[in-house]
Amino acid sequence: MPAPVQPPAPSPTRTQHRSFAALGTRVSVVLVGCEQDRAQELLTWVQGRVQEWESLLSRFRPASGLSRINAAAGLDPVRPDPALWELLLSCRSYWQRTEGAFDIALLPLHDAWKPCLTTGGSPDPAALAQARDLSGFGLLEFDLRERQVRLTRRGAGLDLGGLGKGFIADQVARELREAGQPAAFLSLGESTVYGLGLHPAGRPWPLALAPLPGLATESLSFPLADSGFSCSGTPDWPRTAFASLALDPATALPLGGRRCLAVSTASATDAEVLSSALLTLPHEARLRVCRAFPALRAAEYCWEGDPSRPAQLTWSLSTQAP
Amino acid sequence: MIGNSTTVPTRREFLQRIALVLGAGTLATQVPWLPPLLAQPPGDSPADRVRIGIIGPGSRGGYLMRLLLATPGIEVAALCDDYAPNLERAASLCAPGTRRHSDYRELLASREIDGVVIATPLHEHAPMTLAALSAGKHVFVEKSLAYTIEECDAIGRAAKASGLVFQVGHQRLYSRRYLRAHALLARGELGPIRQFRGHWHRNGDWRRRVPKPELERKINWRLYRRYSAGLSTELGSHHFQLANWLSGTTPLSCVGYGSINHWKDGREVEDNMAVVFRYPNGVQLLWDSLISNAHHGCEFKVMCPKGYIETESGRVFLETPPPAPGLVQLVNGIEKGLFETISIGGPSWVPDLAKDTEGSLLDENWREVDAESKLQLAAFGNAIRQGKPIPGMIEHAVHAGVASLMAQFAMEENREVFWPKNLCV
Repeated sequence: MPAPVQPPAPSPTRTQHRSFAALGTRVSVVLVGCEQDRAQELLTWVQGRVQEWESLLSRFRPASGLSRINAAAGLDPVRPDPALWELLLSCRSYWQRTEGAFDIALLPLHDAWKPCLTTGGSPDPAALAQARDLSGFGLLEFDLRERQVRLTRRGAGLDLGGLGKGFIADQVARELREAGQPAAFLSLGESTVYGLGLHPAGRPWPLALAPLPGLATESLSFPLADSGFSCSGTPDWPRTAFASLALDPATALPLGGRRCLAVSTASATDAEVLSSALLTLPHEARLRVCRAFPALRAAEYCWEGDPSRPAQLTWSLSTQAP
Repeated sequence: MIGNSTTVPTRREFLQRIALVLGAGTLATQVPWLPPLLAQPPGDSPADRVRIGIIGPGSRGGYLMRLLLATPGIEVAALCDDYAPNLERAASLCAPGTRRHSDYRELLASREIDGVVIATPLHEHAPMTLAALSAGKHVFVEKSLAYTIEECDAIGRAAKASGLVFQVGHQRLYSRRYLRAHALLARGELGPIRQFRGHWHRNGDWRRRVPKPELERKINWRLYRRYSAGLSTELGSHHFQLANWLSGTTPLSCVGYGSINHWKDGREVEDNMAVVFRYPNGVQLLWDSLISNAHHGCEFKVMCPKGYIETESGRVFLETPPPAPGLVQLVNGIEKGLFETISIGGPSWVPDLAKDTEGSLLDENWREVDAESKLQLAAFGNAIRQGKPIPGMIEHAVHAGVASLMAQFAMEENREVFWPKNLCV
């Protein structure tokens, strides 16, 4: 793990913000409650921290810790950086707690389906069968004694895109809090958000999904106070920030329709994991999974895409605070 | 009667087109050569008609002629070409009775002609332009301006002294896309210009079909040094004009290399070239051209610390992403003491990686083909009707023409060619 750099000591007032390119998207940070010079120092520090995490977790960086594991698939075990090791253990826990709906080892299946997003149709059946053989969390072996991992088949691969932004948001928020920063708003690609502390008005950060026809603002609101938010959607969901190729691990098929699932919890990592995992699960399984996450608010929206037809809140759930 | 290939738009349609290029009108006051486009539309009286003679209505000249035929208030009154097939083809598109000439001096002697469009081989630009100005005719001459630096200067001096309308075929000066790029740079939003990078790549022999061998040099004049300066003047001049315009200055010197390494068919001008222009403040223009591979096509980039512009594709690439709309709303709300909901879920922003990014469009509404040339010719006609020269045109013509020849001489003479002293502009 990149060693945390001790940020400079705090001092009060003013609002500063910065947007920068990282994690394959736009990261934006708003700081309140500290003066300009201090804020600029902190913004630079946050930008550096995000980039450090990216260099460890990105599969698009050939030298990243994750790329080392993918490159050694079917070959030797790899001893990852301690931070990555802990994160992979968390991924295993999430995989178990979501009944397999959250799975970081579907990369071959994603690669097989991705071209079909633009061309339509389905992958070649033989290629799809091969991709399925190379996918699934069960292919990731953990050696707890040696703190090593190994993908058991050549061609298998891990992708942390399903929780990376949430994880980094949680880390940065924690470090900002430890540095004495009272309030901040972090957006990672607009699909994952963390609200540190309170809005200057003394209330939770008033986050809401962009308006949808026929839905009241309240049903789209996810106020954040020391908590995270994430949203995932199917490829046809019109809000492209949330849309991605969402695969059902059980069937290896992409999810269809115009659906979007938003989650807020105390942890942005939890929120990001659940926003994609719940999208693939049926109602009963959603209830079982969510029970293990306190102070959660989740909602699913469907829309036909016709502006004259209202969107619908098709499912929602709130769990008690601990 | 006008041929089938052209349709004259109504004056209203034409004004709408002009209004679109001028945007809210601010461009018209900031760009010296646009005000003629704001002139009242011409009426129906013969006195409102501007009578134009076309000298060289072949390929490019024929294209300009067709645009003129579709320009309100302009009459193509005479044609001149010493190649009969081109003359006949052009005449078939014009009104019956349009005068035809094989010698441009006859056309220039006509009192029924207000101005001329000259679209002939490069080596003929200077004698024809100087003769036209001397005959009191307003002149639109195709780029590049002339065959030698001395001729460029002589044309500039004559045009200045004449008080007549003078235009050169650098149509990008009338492109909303380029005007927006210029305004963006002038506002300093991308920081100072640090480098220009341009290329123009094609894959073809650049030849036209020759019906008889003895017509080879007449028809394929671009390939022979006696008539042409090749890629430098035929393609490069557009981008050299852009560099001068966008930087607001002229190059200090130029070095370069070129050769004939693919089309070894007896031609005399290079089929590939690469040049570097040195501008003030350490700015460079790197430019290359070849006609043996078209993969990279045509592009002209302006590199600045905060971003760069691809002018041909009309895109801006920022080094730092703009803040998300919801973030702007949040910050503005806090600074105003408001507590407003932060709306998340606009279109996702993708990082501007050189390989796969699309950047953002300079102009999302401008798709009309030929718009730049149409507007340039409309400005030419309006300026003649108003009797006022178009500001800035002589400078653009001379500076781009000279820069094109510097590139050619740098290659041919294998030396650093410096900007000439004592030019008229």
